[in-house]
Amino acid sequence: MTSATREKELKPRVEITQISGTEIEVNMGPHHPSTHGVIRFILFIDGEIVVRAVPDVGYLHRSIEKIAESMPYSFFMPYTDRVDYVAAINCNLGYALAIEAMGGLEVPERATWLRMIGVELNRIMSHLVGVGALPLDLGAFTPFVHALREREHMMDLLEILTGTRMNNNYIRFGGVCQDVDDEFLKKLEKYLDHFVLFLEEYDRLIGTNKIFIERLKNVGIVSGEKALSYSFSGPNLRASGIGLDLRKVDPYCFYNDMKFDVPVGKGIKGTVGDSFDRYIVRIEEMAECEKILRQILSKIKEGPIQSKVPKKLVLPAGEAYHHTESARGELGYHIISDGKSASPYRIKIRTGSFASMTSLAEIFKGMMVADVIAYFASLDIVAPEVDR
Amino acid sequence: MNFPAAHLEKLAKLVDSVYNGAVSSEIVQADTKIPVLKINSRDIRKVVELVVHHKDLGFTYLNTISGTHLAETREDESLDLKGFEMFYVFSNSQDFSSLAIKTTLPENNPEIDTIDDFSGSANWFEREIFDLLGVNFKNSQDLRRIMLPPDWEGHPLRKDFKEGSHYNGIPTTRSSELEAIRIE
Amino acid sequence: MTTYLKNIWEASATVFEGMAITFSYLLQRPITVQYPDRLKEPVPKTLPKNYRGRLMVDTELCTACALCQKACPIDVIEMKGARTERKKGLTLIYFNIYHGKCMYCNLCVEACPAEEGDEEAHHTAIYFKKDFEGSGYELKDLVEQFIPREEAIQRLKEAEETAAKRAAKAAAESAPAEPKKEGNA
Ligand code: SF4
Ligand code: SF4
Repeated sequence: MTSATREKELKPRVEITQISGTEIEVNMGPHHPSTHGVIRFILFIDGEIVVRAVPDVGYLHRSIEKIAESMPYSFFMPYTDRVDYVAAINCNLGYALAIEAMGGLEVPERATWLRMIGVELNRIMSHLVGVGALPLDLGAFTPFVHALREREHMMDLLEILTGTRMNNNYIRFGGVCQDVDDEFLKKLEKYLDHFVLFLEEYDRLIGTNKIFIERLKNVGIVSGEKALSYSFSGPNLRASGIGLDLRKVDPYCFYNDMKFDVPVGKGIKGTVGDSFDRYIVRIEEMAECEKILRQILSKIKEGPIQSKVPKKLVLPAGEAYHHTESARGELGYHIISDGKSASPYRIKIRTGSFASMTSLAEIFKGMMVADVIAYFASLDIVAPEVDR
Repeated sequence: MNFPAAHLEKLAKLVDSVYNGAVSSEIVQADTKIPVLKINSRDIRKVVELVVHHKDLGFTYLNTISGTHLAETREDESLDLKGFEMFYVFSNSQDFSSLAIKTTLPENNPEIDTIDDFSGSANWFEREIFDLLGVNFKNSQDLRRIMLPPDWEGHPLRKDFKEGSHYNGIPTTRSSELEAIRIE
Repeated sequence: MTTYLKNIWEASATVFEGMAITFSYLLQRPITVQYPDRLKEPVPKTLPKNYRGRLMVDTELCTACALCQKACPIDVIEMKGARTERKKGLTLIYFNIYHGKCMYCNLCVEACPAEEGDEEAHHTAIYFKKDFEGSGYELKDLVEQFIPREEAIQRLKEAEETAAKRAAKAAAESAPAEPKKEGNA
C-alpha cells in the first residue's frame, strides 16, 4: 500500500482544526517507549502544541474473539489471560463468572475466597505497574524499580497460589485449579504488613516530589461528565470524581460482605480529574485492596475448591452480558450460546483500556507534546487489552 | 445492579407514548442480569435519544456496543434469523443499573444509524464493529478500520470469513515444528 | 520572585526526600541475585510445589489414553498409543511436545488420569518439572521427543505387526473360509 492511501485512511473525515502553514506531522510509536506496547499516535503539532491527534491502534490485534468461536468454553480460559496480561486473573474471573451465570454452575465457598485473593493481588500488581510506569515515562527511573520489586514479591506469592508468575490461568468453571495451604495465607499476611509500609514509602518517594506534581497537576483534565461520555471506567472514572465501582454497585463473589472505600479524585493538587488524581486514586486503591485481602484472610475457611462441572459443557441457548471490575475498569463479556455446540457462538470482550483510548483524540488537542505522554501514562493503558 | 422489571415496562410504555406507537419495542429478558429491549433497527436513534436524555431514565453511560453475525439458524426462536444482531448496553450514571438495546439488521448490506453524537466513545465501538463485522454506520463522523490495516479484505468476525493464505506477501499460517518429525 | 525561589527550594527539597529513601536502600542488602552463577541454592529448589516449568512425561506411567492431547487448546502434544506385545493395554508409540508453543496452562496435567506417588512426590504421567531453563537456538530445539525417534519407529513397526496379526486372527475366527486380509495400523 502506498503511503498516500494510508494517509488518506488515517485522516478523519471531519477536520478538527484548520491546518495552518506551520503545522508539522509527527509520528509517535508504535515502538515508542512511552506507548506501553504498541500504540501509535499521529500528532499534528504547531511548535510544542498538538493541534490534532489521530490515535492508531490494532498492532496487537490477535482476534481473540474469533479464536473463541472455534474452541470449547474451557479452552478459552488461557486466552483470557492474554486479554490483559498485567491483570490476568481479573480477566479469568470475568469470563468464569459469565459462563457460570449462563450455565447455572455452583462455586464452592473456598474457591470464591481463593479467587478473590488472586484477583486482589493481581489488582495491586497491576496498579503497581501503573504508578511505576507513570514516573518512568516522565523521566524518573527509580520509582519504577521500586514498584517492580514489590510486584516481584507478589509474583512469588502468586507462584504459590497458581503455579505461574504471569498468565496464570488459575480459575476454572466452578472453582479454581489448585488449593493452597495455611502457610501461604500466613506468608500473605506477613507480606501485607510489609506492603503497607512500602505504599507509604512509595508515596513519599515520588508522590510528594514537586517536579512530579507539577508535571501531572492540571494536565489532561477529564471532568466527570466527560469521563462518563468517554465510557471511562475503573480508576480513571473514579479519578474524575465519580465513585462507581462495580464491586460496590453490582457485587459479585463476596464483595458484598467486604468493607472498603471507593477512593475518588478530589483534585488535591489541581483540578478534579487531572493526571495527578489518576495517580493518587491508584495509590489509594492499593491500600483498599490490602484491606480487602486482610478481610479475606480472616474469613477464609477450609472446604472443597471445585464443584462438579460437566466435561463437555454446553450452555443453554441465550446470551448474557456480565461485567466485573478489573484493574483497568469494567471488563464485560457478552457471550452468545446457540445451545447446541460446545463452543461459544460469539464472545465480545469489553475492556477498560479500549474505552479510555476513545478520549485521546479530543484530550490531546491543545496539549504540549510532553503532556501528551503524561496524560497517556496516567491512563494506565495496556495495549493488548485495547486490541484483543 | 439489577434493573427493576417494572422500570422496564415503564420504559416500553414511555417509548410507546413518546412516539405514539411509531416505534415498536419488545421486552426480552434474554439474560439473568440485564433486561433487553428489542427494537426495530430504524428506530435506534429515537430510542437511544430517549434512553439517554429522558429525565426519568438518564442512561448516559454507554458500556459497549457488540455485534454478532447470525449465519446458522439458531435454536432460540427469538434469534432464529439470518443477519446481524446489534447489542447496545447502556448504564445509568447514578446507580449504574444497566439496560440493553437489541436490534437486528439484514444479511445483505447491513446498515444502521450511528449513535456517535450521544456518547464520546460510541465512535470507537462502532468502528470496531465496522471493521470486524462490516456493519455500516450511516452518518458516522469517522468510520475507518480500527484493528485491521486499511487494505485488509473481508470482515473476520463474519461466520463465512475465510482467511487468505497470504497478506501482502506474508504467509498467514505457519506449520508446526511437530510436523517435521512425524513418523507416520 | 519569591514564588520562583520558593518553587526551586521546594523542588530540590522534595527531590532530596526521595533521594533519602533511595540512599537508605544503598545500605541494605541488595534484593537482586547474580543469576545463574552466584546462588545460595539452585532456583528450582526454591520454587513452590506446583510450579509450572517445562512439561515432562513419565513414559512408564503413561497409559497412552490421549486425554492430554485432547485437552490441549493449541495442539502442543502429539502422541499415539497402540497395542503391541510389549504389555497389556496400550503401548506408547511416540510422545512429542512442542515446548515453543506451550502456554503452561495446566489443562493437560489436569486431564491426565494416571498418577503415582504420595502426598509429597505426587505427580501425574504428564507433569511440570521445576526446570525452566529451556532456551534453544532454533525452533526445532524446542520439540522434545520423550520416546526417542529410533525407538518410536521400532514400536510403530511392532504395533503394525500386532494389528496385522490380530486382524488375521479375527478374520480366521469369524469367517474361516474367507481369504486372510491384511489389516493396517
Ligand atoms: S500446558 Fe497447556 S498449552 Fe502446554 S501442552 Fe499442556 S494443555 Fe497444551
Ligand atoms: S500423559 Fe496422562 S493423559 Fe496423556 S496419554 Fe499419558 S496417561 Fe493419558
